[in-house]
Amino acid sequence: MNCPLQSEETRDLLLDYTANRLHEASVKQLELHMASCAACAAFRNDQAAVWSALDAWEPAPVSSHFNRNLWAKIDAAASAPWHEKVLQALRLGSWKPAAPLALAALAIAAGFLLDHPARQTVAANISVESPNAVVAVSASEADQVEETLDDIQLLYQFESPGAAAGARGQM
Amino acid sequence: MTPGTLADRLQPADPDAELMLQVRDGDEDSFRALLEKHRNPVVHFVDRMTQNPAISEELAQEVFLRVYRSRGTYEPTARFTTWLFRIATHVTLNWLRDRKKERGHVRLDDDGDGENRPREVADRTMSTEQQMLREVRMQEIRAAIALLPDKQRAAVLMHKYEEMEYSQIALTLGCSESAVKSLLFRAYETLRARLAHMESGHAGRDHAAREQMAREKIMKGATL
Repeated sequence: MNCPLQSEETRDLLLDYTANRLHEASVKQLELHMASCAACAAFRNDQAAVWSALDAWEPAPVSSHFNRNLWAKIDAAASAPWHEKVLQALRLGSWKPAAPLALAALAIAAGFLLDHPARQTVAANISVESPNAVVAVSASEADQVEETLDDIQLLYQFESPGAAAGARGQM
Repeated sequence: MTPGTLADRLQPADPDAELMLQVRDGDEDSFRALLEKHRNPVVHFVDRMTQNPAISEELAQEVFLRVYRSRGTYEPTARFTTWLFRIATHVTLNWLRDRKKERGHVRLDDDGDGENRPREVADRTMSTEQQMLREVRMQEIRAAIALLPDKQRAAVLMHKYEEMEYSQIALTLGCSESAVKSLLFRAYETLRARLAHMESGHAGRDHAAREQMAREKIMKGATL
């Protein structure tokens, strides 16, 4: 067996040995090698010391109210206003995979707009070359304004109590 | 794609991923089961990463809150523990980064004055001197881990305490398997330099001398 410390690709064998994560066959081979390789034996000893030191590091016990606090947070998150939920969703990053696509779409749209800055020019051309078209556009705008005014008037009728009573009287 | 076919993709079957798929379908009991199983490992991981008990449970709760919030979009593309520890690592590294910004630099070992670290429960079978020696050793271990760079520390904790394979750690940290091996090798190299003097099953080199040093350290601390 070649010395595992000689190559970056095999040196983790010694880490795996200390962590008891090597197959039995590899363990035997490595132990045979370490019997004659002082560097590997020293590495094994030092690594074993680190391993056992880390074993001694016992974590602090988890508090008994951990679950209760977590469920309170879950409930609070569930009853949060919609804008906070949107912010949370952004923070969670589930949109991140779509970000490049969105950026590409924005870039294409920006490129398209830059490439076709002639909307106003076209409108001007229409007004010069075909006055009828301008008249048609103006007529449709006037219709829209009239419809909006009608809608507002209708809303006033609904909101006004007299109008509502009148409406009931007519029924 | 149906949940069943996604679960079938996992080789071997991951019962935790299956539970998470049930959480996705609205089963809160499955979430409770996952919480019971993974609460302690996550809290301990976060605690060892931050070495700040005052914040570690809050961060661990944030991890589970994110798991719960992400249930709707969960896809079992990796083992559940890999996904869970990816979130835990993300949350913890973000907190460490924010703290670094706040303080200007990280001093994870600055709780040696006992500001945040509660005294460990005394073992009645140990003498006072033994307990003090143990405390000195624990401080040494915590300081050695704290001085590792964040990613190396996360890799060591997942390798040592969660017994994760290199491939799992790689997925969790978002790097290649060879990068993980390299991270771990460098991390353990640093730890060997700092901790190899401690007694182990294999070798207790210069043990008496080290014990003497620890005693002197205790005496020095007592006279201050």
